[in-house]
Amino acid sequence: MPFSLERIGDSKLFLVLSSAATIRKDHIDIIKTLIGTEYRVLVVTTNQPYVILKKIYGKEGINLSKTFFVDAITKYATGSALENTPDCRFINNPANLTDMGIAINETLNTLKGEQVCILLDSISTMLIYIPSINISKFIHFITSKLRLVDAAGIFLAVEKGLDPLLMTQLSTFVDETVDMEEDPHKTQS
Amino acid sequence: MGRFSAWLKEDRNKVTLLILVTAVCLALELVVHLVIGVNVVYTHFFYVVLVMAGIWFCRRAVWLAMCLGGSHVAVSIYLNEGITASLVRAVMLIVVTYIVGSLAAEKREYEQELMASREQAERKRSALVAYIAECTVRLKSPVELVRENLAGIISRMETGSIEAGEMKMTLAVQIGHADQILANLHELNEAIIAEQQDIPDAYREFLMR
Repeated sequence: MPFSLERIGDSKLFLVLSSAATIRKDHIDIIKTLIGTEYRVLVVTTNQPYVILKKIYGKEGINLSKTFFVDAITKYATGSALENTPDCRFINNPANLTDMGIAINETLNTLKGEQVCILLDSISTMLIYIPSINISKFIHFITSKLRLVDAAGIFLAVEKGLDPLLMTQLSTFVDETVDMEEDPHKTQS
Repeated sequence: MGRFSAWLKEDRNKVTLLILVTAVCLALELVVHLVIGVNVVYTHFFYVVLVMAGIWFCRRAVWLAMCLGGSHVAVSIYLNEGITASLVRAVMLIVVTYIVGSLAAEKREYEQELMASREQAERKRSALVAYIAECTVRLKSPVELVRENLAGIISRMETGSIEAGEMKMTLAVQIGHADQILANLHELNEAIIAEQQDIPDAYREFLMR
């Protein structure tokens, strides 16, 4: 079910829980919804390479001029030395949170004055490379940054894949937790 | 009785009680020994005080035994009695107190060691449970994601909507994920082996492969 932008009002930061089977579809639905508004979307991907995402977006008719990417998987998986493009910054390794933080920061700076929303796909994939304590710190850093620049953020994760402690911590960093498997209007603050 | 036991748990209250009972002992020494002139039997009451002090304050109770024994000998000297019997009683007070104090100290050390060992075992167990939970988190949903990504590739292959280059890159990403998941699993095995010393060597070697 599409992510409703009615939710982006006073609340700007969301932890979105999907099943492993629907997380890709939910990603596309969220992007489609965001692109249809004034938001520019910064996609931070650790799950699907930038090139693949662009193709998928193209096939789905998503306006690519409003999307920017931080790709943390292509260089690591393919081993190729890729140069940054105007709409994408590549990170060597998904475990390199420092570089990821810098790339996000720089992209946010280039989009200063515009309505920006970060879509992080996904916390569950990041868990392959990074201990949950570091993920928790990183998400706290990103959410604090987003609050400072008044940007929105959507953090995708596989439901039931997060341990209770991490889930509690992440829930406190965001404004709302949205379970895509549940009623679309039912949220947990 | 329960309220009295609870009251006695505080060291300050133990000291108060000992001071009171010691005062009774000294009163007995003065009245029974000095005034009435009887120098036997009443000293048995001293053992009650000294055993209590020995249990609560271990070998430090010997100081109290020396005071009570000393007062008994001093009164005997003052009354000009033969002091041999009084000296024997005083020495016995000190020896008994020392033995009780030593046993109490040993018991206390054993209890502290037992508690420390329990705490250490509990800490290790908690750490291992936390580590296993962390590894489960870092294995379960990632494997589900990889599975779904691979299923997605198959479905796109069936509809002919994926090119060879795209497929290669997508598969490379999944291989990268799988490599890291294997590394996480290996790390988990290492942690379990380090913790569980009773794993047979053959299984230890198998888990470390």
